Amino acid sequence: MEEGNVAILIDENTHILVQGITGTVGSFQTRIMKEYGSNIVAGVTPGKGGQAVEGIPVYNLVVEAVRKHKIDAAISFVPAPFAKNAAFEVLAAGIPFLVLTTEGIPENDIIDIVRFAELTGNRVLGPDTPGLISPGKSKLGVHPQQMLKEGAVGIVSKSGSLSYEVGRVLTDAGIGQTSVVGIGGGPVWGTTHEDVLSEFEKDPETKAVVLLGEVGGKLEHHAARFIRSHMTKPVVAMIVGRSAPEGAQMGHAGAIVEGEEGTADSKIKALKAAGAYTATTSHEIVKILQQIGV
Amino acid sequence: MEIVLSNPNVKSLLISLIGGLTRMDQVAEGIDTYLKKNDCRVPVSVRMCGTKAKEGVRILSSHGIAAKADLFETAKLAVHYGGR
Repeated sequence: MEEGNVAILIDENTHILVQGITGTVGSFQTRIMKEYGSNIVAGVTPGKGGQAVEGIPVYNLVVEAVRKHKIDAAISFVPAPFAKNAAFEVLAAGIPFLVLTTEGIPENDIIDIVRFAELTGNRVLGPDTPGLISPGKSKLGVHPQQMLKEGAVGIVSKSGSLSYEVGRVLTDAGIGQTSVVGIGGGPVWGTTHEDVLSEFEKDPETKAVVLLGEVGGKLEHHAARFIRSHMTKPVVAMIVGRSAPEGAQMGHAGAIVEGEEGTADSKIKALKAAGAYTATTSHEIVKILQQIGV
Repeated sequence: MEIVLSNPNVKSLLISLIGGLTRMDQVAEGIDTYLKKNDCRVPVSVRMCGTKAKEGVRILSSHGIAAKADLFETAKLAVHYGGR
């Protein structure tokens, strides 16, 4: 995806729409987000218009919701078979930013969604992403917020769980975060490491960035090139899957070592050469951040 | 669990769970259901934290499993159970 102009960092003023708000997962996560302070103004489930979830009005269609509310971002909990239509609804309605949590969307559909977002000039985060959280401000995702706290480190990760794990260790060590952003397990991404690095570089509150990657694909190599040419802030990188055998899928659809560039070693080497600090454990990330003085 | 335990060299089992979208109470109920139906021949150590973890830990404690929040601590425990 080209470097978009759509900012993805959120705060308490971000007006949010939840797609699939009446579902089991959608309603549960809506309650948690709302309790956290996220400014959720509307929900959509076709056929459930007129209902309310947690006091939030539900509409049949996204176009109805945008007619009644100012909406800056949407988060989708719509099941995979219907995810493409739902995403197109958001993008066509002119909502600039869509978080696609759904797992298992057919790859052809993902390609269509990402392409349509390029055409409309909107940004998609995901799919298969936990979304993002700006600790202490707002949450547009499913992160376990008790593990995170407000601070000066930006985290960008392919894996949701790995970002929770690293966030928890950082928080325990007294190091807070500006935003924790999950880009999803791939193999097709609406927003990449590189896009998020660019946001963190621009964000005045972010003093350092933690980049979490894994085997498969070339995103971390692209990130390395971006770090070399554009990042002035320190980046601490950790790539997991150093012992992953070639050809085996390691949990995420995109996490398959195919060719030299997909290995953890080649990514670590590229990031190091680009000037990033590299770590092999979350505790080592803490040590490096403390040495940098964040 | 069946696949992992089919390997006779496995002496200790570590389950690491960190819940975001996944609710830990639901996962704990799954582990509970399995352990009620099956004999687990090796000691089980669980790392559990995140969404609904408090409820999950309570469910696991009925099997004498004290889930810890820290992965490294739990990993050490699992290695200890494995006799190394």
